[in-house]
Amino acid sequence: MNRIKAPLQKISNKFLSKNSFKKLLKINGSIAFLMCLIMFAFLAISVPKLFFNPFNIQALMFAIAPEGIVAIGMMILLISGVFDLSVGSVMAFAGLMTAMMLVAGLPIIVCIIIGLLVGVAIGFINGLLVEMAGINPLISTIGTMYIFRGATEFLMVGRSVDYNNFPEIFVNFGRKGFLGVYWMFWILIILVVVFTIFIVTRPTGKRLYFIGGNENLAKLMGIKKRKIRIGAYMISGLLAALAGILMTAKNDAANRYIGNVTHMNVIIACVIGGGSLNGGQGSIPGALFGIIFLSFLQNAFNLFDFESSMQRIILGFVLMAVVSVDGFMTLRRQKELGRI
Amino acid sequence: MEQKSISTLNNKKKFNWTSLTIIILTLAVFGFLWATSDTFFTFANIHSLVYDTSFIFFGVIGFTYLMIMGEIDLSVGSMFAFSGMWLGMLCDWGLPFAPALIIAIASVIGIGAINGILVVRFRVPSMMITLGMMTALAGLSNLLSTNLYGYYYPDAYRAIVRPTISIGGEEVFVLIIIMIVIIAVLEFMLHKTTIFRKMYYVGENLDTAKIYGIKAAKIKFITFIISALTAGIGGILVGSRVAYAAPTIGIGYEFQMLTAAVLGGASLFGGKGSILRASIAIFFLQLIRNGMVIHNIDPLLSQIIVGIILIIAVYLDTRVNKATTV
Amino acid sequence: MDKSNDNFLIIDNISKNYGVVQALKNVSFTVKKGEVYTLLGENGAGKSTLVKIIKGEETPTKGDITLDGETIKNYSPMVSKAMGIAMVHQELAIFENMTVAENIFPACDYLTKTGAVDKKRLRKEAQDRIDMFGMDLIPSQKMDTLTVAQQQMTEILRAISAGSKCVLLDEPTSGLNKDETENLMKIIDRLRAEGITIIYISHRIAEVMHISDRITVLRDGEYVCTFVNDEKLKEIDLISRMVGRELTKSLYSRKAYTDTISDEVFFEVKNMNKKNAVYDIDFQLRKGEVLGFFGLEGSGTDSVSRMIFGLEAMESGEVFFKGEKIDKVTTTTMVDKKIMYINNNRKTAGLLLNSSTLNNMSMPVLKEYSRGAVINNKRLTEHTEKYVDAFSVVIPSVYQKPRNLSGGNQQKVLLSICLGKEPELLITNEPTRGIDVGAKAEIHKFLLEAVEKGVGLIVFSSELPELMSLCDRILVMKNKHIVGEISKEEISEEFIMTIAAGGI
Repeated sequence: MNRIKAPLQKISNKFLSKNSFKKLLKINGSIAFLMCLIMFAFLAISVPKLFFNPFNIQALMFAIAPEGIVAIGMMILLISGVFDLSVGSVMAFAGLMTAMMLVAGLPIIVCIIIGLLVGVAIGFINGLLVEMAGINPLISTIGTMYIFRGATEFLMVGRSVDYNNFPEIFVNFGRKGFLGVYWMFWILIILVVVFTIFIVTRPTGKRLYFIGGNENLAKLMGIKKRKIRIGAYMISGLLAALAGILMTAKNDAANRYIGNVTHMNVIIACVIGGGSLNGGQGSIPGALFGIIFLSFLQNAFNLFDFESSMQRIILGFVLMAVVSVDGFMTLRRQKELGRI
Repeated sequence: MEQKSISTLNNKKKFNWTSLTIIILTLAVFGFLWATSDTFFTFANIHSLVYDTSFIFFGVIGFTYLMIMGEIDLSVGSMFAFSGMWLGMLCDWGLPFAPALIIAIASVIGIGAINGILVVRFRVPSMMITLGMMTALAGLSNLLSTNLYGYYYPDAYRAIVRPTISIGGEEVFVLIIIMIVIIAVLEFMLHKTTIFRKMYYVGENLDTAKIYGIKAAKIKFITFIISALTAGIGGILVGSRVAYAAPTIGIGYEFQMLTAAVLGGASLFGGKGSILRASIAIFFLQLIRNGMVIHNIDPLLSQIIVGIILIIAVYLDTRVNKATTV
Repeated sequence: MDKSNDNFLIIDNISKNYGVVQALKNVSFTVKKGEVYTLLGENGAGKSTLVKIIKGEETPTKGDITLDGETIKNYSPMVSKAMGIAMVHQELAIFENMTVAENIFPACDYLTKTGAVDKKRLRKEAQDRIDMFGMDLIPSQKMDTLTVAQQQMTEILRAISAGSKCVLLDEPTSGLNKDETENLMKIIDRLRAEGITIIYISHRIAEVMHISDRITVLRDGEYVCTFVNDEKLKEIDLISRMVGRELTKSLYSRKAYTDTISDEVFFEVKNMNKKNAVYDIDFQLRKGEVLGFFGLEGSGTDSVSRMIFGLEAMESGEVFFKGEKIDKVTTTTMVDKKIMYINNNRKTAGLLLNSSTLNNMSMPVLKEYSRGAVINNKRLTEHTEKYVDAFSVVIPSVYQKPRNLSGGNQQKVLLSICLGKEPELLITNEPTRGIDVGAKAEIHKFLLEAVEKGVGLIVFSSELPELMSLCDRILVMKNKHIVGEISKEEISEEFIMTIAAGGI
């Protein structure tokens, strides 16, 4: 009995104490979680019929899954103190590569693996540029963003081949599901669980935070900063490629516009979800909640039949508000400690 | 430099060769195109190239200033789209052109002020704040362009960029002359006036500048306004040229400006940069596009080439700086 | 155990060059197992470079290091870590975003059977270490909520928790107060008892004489001599070896008596307060007087200096200058009133390291040397040359960047910038931190010359001798407020220390 009681006591003490709400807010990603809850409650109460409509749920899953997958990689990078603007281009380029292989008649599994490897390779290039050549991540990933978006367009525009009509199994991979949940959403759930466990429990996961917090010191402590960051870029590339391939499968066509705003959405979601450009902060569930919040927001605008551009306006202001509030809290804490 | 009584001082300014890189590159590409094509070095082609440059040039002014301050404004591209369309919207609502223009400029300044106050007051990375503003403005522009579908801007608006004057028998757009004058004035001001000198100080080390009484926060705030203002003016000029609310205006401009500013010697860490060289860099990017068209290279490849140039330029910059500072 | 095994660390003919600068010249000595070995020397003597080489953060240009009988071939922090060497850096080296426990064990040493990080064990081990050394820390606390002293204690704990055979301490007490320093001394004693070798760097001679077994003096990158710390060793022996010359009278001697102080109040602060920083700060500076502020780390002197200049906001309080109240205390209004501030860390704020000396000198005087908004570069160059000459700053040209200057020269540039404004009041926060004794004496001379010309001077310093040689009156701070005032007749090191560190 005691063994059950004691932790329960602990938990109730924790949450019933005076500052429990403040403490809760301090947990990384909790703001995004709360925002998701509020959006959910709002939608569920105001337009229950539309919101819980199976088609709407499906649309939500399709919206959340690819960006959620990309957000995992982005959050890992943000924790270690860097970021990647090329993810959208990677999605389009890797999707196209897989599509080209499929049209060429290669086995599906080989096509997918090639697509994923392309993503890993681009991530590796990003990693090399940032870590070995010492180029600021903003510049180097904007560079690769240009390069691979350009390459995608070059390979697609004005060509006589149409990259569509893929084998049915491949298309079903993007469109069908299991237990009423799409494969891509299952993949997202599994990836979130796996990477959360990895980040929270594995030493390498912890090291991401050390690197993001103080990279020079991390190096002196014997943490292999370069290897880990390059690895993080490769994971980001891999996940972006996976998202791109899933989208390609769902569309049953390669599309050069895939992911052209993804990098912005994903960074915004990660920052709302507790990540920081300064590094050393963030969590995978936070990234997921950020994406879910974004998707709910978009959904709300669709359901209320607002112009979809309104969603971007609100999103922009939400980002500015979140960043400012974070800055304000940091300043206040510094002031309380008498540091400034 | 005049030699003073102190014999130990040898005040010869060492010439910084890296500052010439972009000029040499531009001349090289220019020379190459001249040599390999008959259609390149014609008045019409060069004139239209420079004319194209003169629009985005306005945005680059503020963008470069912010980079000198060690900040960045990603909202410039959306601002290009927004300001032009907002002015169009005001006209569409029936306002006479002059008050509409004043309101549009005031709105633009207000937006810059919001960016500035948030960054300065809460000491947060400008990249995040302006990313938010970029998203919001892009949404607003989208909204405007949907509402303005099929609307042509009034004559007064369209007339801004049209005037030409005759120089040596050829008609030249006045805008080009204005651009050249502005570059000359700004380059002079950058080297010779107190406010711009202070910008460099703040960009290199904000805390140091503060100790010597320089109003760092205020200067930073003003620079955000300048950035929004110059991008806003650029947007109005583009609006005047295009004459309707084209939804593609401004897309990717922020990255072009970043590339131009960096090619022009600016650094993400602040304290460096030049309007003249950034303007040349824009011309350089235009040259490359022009050259690709002339030589029948798929213009879709230009993105790839710009990306590679950006990476190489920054790589060389970090290398050179490492070599000289250690 | 045979005799040779007693030698834990053999430094053999080590040299280190940074470009043309030779930081270490053929240094050799031997450290025995389990002793506390102190490296003593002025700034720039090469102590920090030497410990960085031992830790593997730098590679020597020439020479060998033998550690525990093994000559190091590959210099890297990883190799030295594997050999059991840990280090506490001079600058605070912590992960602000992590907890205390994670900072103590950044290598995530404790894993469960499945290979996960064992958080419970980590916290418990951290708690054990904290208890063992009687520190005031909680393992689950986030570092960014701690004071600087607590952060430094965490860093020390990390070094001694790594199961190391040898701990390098590079000025570990710079951020600690008296109690914490004493605690650290106990910790060092304990480590020595456990047979762990300590290499210790400090400026505080009393502390060094208290804890060391042997003391090696380095000067200008060269080995000078080694003392065995016994009763016969005198402080003056160490100091004279460090400096390499007899101490000049002007430095570290009391300021000559001056009669120029009038009763006129020149600068006054009334009832200045700020939560968690300082409270009830009241003081007056009279015309012609030099006022000193002394306090140990954390006493609030730094905050006072920054608040009266407008670098930090005050919550309440009034500032008067020449009888007039200053309504808005900001750096801009202060500089306009010709009040200048010399910062305690010239690298983080005070100099533009990558801009020319000319640009540095121009900062506060742009207005004076411009017509309208147009700068007169020629007159600015003359201005710069005048001050560079007056303060004998050694630079090849006014376009020289401060980054490439020595610490002493950098500090002189800093002083030139401030005096170039022809100030009426100079607030100096640690005016001679981190520079050698020669440059120190020069700067003291320049400061007193300025005072003779009528400049008001307030000196915030943690070095008593400096205060004693400069000031007419010293205010002593403790626990965030002023606890004592000492007139020049009473100034003595012991007396001030008693007030600052004693139990009032």
